[in-house]
Formats: sequence, C-alpha cells, structure tokens
Amino acid sequence: MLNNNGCIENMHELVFYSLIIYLAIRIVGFGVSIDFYFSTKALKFKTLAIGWILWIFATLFPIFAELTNDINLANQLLVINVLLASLGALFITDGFVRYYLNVPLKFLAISSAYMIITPIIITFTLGPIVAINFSALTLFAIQIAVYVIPAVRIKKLKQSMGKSIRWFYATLLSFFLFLPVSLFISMQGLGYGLYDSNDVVLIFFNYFPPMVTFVLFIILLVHLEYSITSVHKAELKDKYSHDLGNILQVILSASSLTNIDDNLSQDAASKIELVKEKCIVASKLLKEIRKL
Amino acid sequence: MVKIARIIIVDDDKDIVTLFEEVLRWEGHEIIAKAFNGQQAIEFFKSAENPPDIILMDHRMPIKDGLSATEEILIENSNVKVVFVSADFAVKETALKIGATYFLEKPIDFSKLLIAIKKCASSN
Repeated sequence: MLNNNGCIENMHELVFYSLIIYLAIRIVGFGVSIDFYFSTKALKFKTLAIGWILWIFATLFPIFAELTNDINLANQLLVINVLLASLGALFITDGFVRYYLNVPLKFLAISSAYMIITPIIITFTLGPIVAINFSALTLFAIQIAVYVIPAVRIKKLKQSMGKSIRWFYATLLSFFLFLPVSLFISMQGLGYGLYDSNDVVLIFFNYFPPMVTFVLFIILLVHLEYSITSVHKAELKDKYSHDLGNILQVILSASSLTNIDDNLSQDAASKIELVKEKCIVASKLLKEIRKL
Repeated sequence: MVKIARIIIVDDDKDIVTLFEEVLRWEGHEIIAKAFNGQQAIEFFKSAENPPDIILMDHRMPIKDGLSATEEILIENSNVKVVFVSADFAVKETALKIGATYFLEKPIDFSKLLIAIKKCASSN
C-alpha cells in the first residue's frame, strides 16, 4: 500500500528477498520457455517466454520504486509493476492453454491492449491507486480463468497432458492456497504486493504459494515437453521401422519369387541369394532399432 | 499334399499384396479377396458367400487397423484363422490375445509364411 505521500515506506526484508527469489525463478522459467521455443518453434513457447519476461520486469519495478524518493515516479513504477504482472499472467495463461485449445491471436492482442491502455488512462484520470487496483483485479480474473478454462475443457486437457496431469494438479493446488490470500489483501484495502506491509505472516502467504506454483509450473512444462518428445520419437521409430519392414518384405518376396524361375542363370541366382541374405541382415538390424 | 486354403490378403502396401498373392497362387491356394485396409477386409469377409479359411492381416493400415478388423471378424466368425504379417512387433501380444493364430514379423521369408498357412489349413 502507498503511504499518505503516495510512496513505499521501507519495504520489508521478507518482501525484498521474496522479490529476488521471484526474479530468479522467473529467469529460469524464461530460460526453459525460450529453449523450448528454439527447439520447437511453437507459438505457445513464444507467448510463455514473453509472459516470463513481463514477469521479470514486473519484479524489478517495486525494487526501483523503493530506490527513488520521487513520489510521482514511485507511483508510476508501481502502476507499471502491477500492469506487467497482469499482462505476464495473461501471456503465461495463453501459452499454457495452447497445449489443449486453439486460442486466436486476436484475443491475446485485444486483451493485451485493453490491459495496457485502461490502467494508463485511469492513472491520468483517477490516479495511480485506482489504476493499481484495476490491474490487480484483472490479475485476479486471470487467476480465476486458470481454474475455469481447464474445468470446461477437461477432456482435451487430460488428452494433451497425459501423465503430466499430476504436475498440473499440483500446480493448481499450490496456486489455490494463494487465491484466498489475494482476496483477503484486496478486501482489507492493502496494496498489491504488500510492498509497505510489516505483517510477516501475510507477506509469507502472499509470496510463498506463488513461488511454489512457479516452480511446479516450470516442472510441469519440462515434464510435459519431455513426455511429448518421447511419445513423438517412439511414434516416429514405429512408423519408420514399419515402413522399412514393408520395403524389406517387398525386396525379400520379389527375390524369392525370381529365384523360383528355372531358367535363371547360376550367376543371377547367386546374386539374388546375396540380396536375400542382406535383407535378413537388415531385418535383424530393424529388430534392434525397434528395441531402442 | 498341401491342403488348399481360401485366403484374404489384407495389407495397405499394394506391392506386398501382389507378391503374396503370386506366391500363394503358385503354391495352389485360392485368393478370394485383396483388401488394403481393415474396413475393406471386414466388408469382403461379411459379403463372401463362403467364408475364407485364412486371413493374412497387416496391422498398421489407414481407416481401420489390423487389430480392430480382426476383433470384428472373429466376433462374426471365430472359425477363421487370422495370420498377422506385420512389421509392428509391439502388437504381437495383443494380436494373439484377441485370437490371431500366428504372428509373423515382417520381413518374413516365404517358407515361414507357407508353413504357417499349411498349419492353419490342416487345422481347418
């Protein structure tokens, strides 16, 4: 919450260290997403990476606000903080939802524009605190969507998650602990992020569940990608070994049928025998490939 | 003396179907139908006046795979012998479990195929 002068008064140590941990986790999240993006070129990882980047910057702004004595600047920085946090949440949610839903890019563009323009207008008309509350409310709405969208599309979700669904449920559960805290903070009129709060218990519950959620979400992404890649590789292996098996079958069958011909010269017959022998060697190699 | 069998060949690879047909005819067997997917095989089987003795069945095929087709065919007539000739070794256990008589892994030598056909024909 802002003080009477509109700036943060002595950020609690626990808040500061929580922000540093947030920063570290989000950098890891960004690294994982960007790595997956470069290896798959999938749009979902592009939006996930953008989401993490927005969250990284969101973490930095309250620290910058703490460093400045300029009240107006501190206000602007805090508005940017919550704006980036809500925008980051939108991109992260969008990226993850793309695992099981086709979301039009238009939706992301319109939502982003709305979430950027509205707080800016509010800041200059109604003041920064209203703008911060607006973005915090938007963030809360996205948090609710994180539960509603999977519930509506549960069948598709389960299909796309496979065994990784356990990590998804764990992520949702840890995040669920954060929702009442988030609601309580808003209802008490306390500022987003508790940047000037001294309530250690509240600070702990405000920062710890999201931290666990971020870590679980990163594990979920890695687990999911590993599973998808493994399944894809196994499918390709089966497909190629099947096709090679068919090709070898044709060569072997054609050779055998040609060898039946009584008029075949001894030289030609021995060459056909050689082809058959090599086919048998190739089929043994194929069996080894199938075992991989 | 080899007992003559009435056979349906099912494989999505037309070259394999042609070559199997040639060798089986050469051996004296009667090829009553050729199907290129599981669905076609079921239709041929159901429309045949006299059911075949043996079905040579591939597994990985478009429209309907060999396992699904075999299940449906065996429900229709459990006396028919289904010999799987497939490059999908992973389905061997399932194929035998649902009632296939033999599972031959591609590529196979004709001698092995003919032995399997002979055994099936004799048991019929």
